[in-house]
Amino acid sequence: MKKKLDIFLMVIFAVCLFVTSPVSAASDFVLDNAGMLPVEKVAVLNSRAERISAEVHCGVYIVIIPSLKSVDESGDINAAARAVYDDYDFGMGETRDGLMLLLAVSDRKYSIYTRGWGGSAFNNYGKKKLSKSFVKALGGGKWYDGMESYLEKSGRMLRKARDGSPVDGKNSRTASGLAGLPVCIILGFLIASMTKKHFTSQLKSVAFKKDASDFISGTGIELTEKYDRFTHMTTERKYDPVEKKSGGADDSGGTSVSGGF
Amino acid sequence: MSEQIVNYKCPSCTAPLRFSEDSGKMECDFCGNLYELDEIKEMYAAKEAAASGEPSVDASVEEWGENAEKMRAYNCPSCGARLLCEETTAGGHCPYCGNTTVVPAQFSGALKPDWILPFKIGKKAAEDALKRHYGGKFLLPKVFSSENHIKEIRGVYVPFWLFSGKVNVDMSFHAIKTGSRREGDYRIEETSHYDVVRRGNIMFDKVPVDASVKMPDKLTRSIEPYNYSDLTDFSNLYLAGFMADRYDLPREEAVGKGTSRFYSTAIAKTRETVSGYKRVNVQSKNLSVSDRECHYALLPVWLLSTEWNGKNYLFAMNGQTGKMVGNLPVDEKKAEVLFWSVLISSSAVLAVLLAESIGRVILGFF
Repeated sequence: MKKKLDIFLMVIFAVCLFVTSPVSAASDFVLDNAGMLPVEKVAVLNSRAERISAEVHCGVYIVIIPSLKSVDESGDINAAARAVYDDYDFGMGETRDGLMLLLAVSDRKYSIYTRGWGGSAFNNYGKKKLSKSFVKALGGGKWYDGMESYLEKSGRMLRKARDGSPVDGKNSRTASGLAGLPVCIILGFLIASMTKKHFTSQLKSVAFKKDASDFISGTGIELTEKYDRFTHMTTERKYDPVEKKSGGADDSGGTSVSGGF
Repeated sequence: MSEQIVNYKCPSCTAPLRFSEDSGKMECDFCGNLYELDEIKEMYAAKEAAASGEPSVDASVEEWGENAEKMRAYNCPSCGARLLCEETTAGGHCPYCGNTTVVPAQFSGALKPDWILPFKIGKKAAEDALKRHYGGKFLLPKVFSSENHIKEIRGVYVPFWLFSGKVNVDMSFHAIKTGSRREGDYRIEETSHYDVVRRGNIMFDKVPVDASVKMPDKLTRSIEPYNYSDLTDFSNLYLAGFMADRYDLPREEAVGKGTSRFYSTAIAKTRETVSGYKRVNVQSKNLSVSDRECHYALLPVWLLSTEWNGKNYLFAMNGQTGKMVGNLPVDEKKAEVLFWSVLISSSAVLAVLLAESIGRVILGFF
C-alpha cells in the first residue's frame, strides 16, 4: 500500500514539475506556466521545437506566463522576456543562440526575444514577419494553432538563415518595390484618365438640369418645425493594442520585438 | 390664305420691319428708321385681328397623307409665294422676298402667351459668342474652330410653361454622430443616433418647362436662368425677324416635369439644413404643392448649327443673358496622346518617388 502511494505521489510530482516548474531542464522548449494547453499538446509542441532547435543549432522556445507582474515588477514585456530567457538558461552553444516567444496571458502581450545567432537570423523585420504567423490565432483564443504556426514559421525562417538568406527585409523590400511598379502604373492610369476627363468635360456643356434653385423666391426654405432629437447611443469595443515596435539590444546582446494579441 | 400672315413693313419705305434687340423698337434695315412698338401695333391692329382666326389646313397639302394634319400652308402677303410650315410655326421669314412673317392666329385667344421675354442679344453677338465658346479648349480639333462655318443661325422664341408655387415639405431623417476613445488595448467606438425632423415650405417662382416637343430639354435647361424682370406682355411685334413656335406640349403634360423640379430641389434644400452629422439618411418625405400657378411665355434662344465631318453640332444661346452651350467634338488623336503622355510621365514620377522612399526606408532600417 505504501509503495502504491509512493508511486502515486511521484507521478503527481512529475506532472506538477512538468506543468508549472519555473526551473526547467535543457530539454524544455515549450513551457506553459499558465495552464493554457493540455499537457499532451505541450508535449507535441515541445518535441517539434526540440527537433527544429537541433536541426538549426539554435534554441526555439515558447514560454507562457500568467501575467507580466509575476516575472517583472515594472510589467515590461521585453524585460520579462530577457529575465525568463536567463532564468531558464535558454540558448545553445557558447553564445546561447536562441529565439523565444514569451506570452503573457492576462496582459495579452507577446515578446519575441533573440540572442546570439538568433539575433542574426531575426532582425526586427524578421521578428515582425514572424509575429504575423501567430497574433491572429492567439487573438482568437486558438493558442495551440498560434504556437504551431509560430514553430512552423520560425523553423522555416531559421533554415533560410542557416542557408545564408535570412528573412531580413532586404529581398522583400526589393520585391515590394517591384510590386509597387504596378501600383505606380495604376495610379498613373488614374491620373491620366482624370486629366483626359477634365479636358473632355470642357467640351461638354449640355446637361439635363433637374435642380431649380435659380427659381427659389424669398429667402429659400422657411422652416416651421425643426428638431434634432438624440435617441440612443451604441458602442462597439474593438481590441486594438498599441504595438510596441522594437526593443533595443540589451547588455547580453538579446533583442526583442513585442506587441499585443 | 394670305390674310393669315402679317408682314410688318416700314411706313416710310415699305421694306420689312424687325424687332431690334438693341433699341427695343421696330427697325427698318433698309432706311434705318425706328418706330415705337405701340405705333406699329396700332397700324396693324386691324390686320392682326383679321388674321387671328384658326389657321386652316390648305386643301392642297392633303396629298401629304398622314403628315397633312401637321402642316400648314400660307401665302406670303408681300410676294404671294406659298409657304409650307409646321402646324406650330408662328413666325419666320419668307424665303423668296425675305419679309418677316408672323401668324397671329398661333398666338390668339387661348393660345396667347401671358408674357414674352424680348431678345436682348443680337445675331452678331451670338456668332461672336460661339467663337468664344471654342476658345481655351485643349481637346477641340483645331480644324473645327479654324475651318468651321456656321451653317445656320436662328433666333427662336421658344414656348415655355412657367410654374410657380409653394412646396410644403415634411421630412424626417436618421442621423448619426460617431466618436472613439481608448480604454487600454481597446478602442471604444461610440455612435449617437438622432431623429431629425424638418417641416416647412419653399416658394418657387416661374420654373421653366420647355413646351416645345422638338426642342431638346437638355439644351433649354442648360441655358437657364433667365432674368424675369424683363418679361413683358405678349405682342406679335416682338416676333418680327425671329422664328417662333407655339407650344405643342400641353400644360397638363408639363405639370409633372415642373413638379419634379420643385420636389427634387425642395428635398435637396431641406437636406442642406441637416448638418453636423457623419451620416444622414432620409427616413420619410412628404411633399405637396399649394398656390400653384402656371403661365405661358415665349423665351428667346439663339440656335446655331454647324457641320463637321458629316456630323451636325447644335449650340444654344440664351437670347437674354448670352449664356452659350453646346457639345463640341473631341480630337481623339490628341486625347490619346495626352492620355499616354500623362500615364507614362506620372507613372515614371511615382516610380522614382517610390524608389526614393524605399531607399530611405532601407537606410533608416539600419
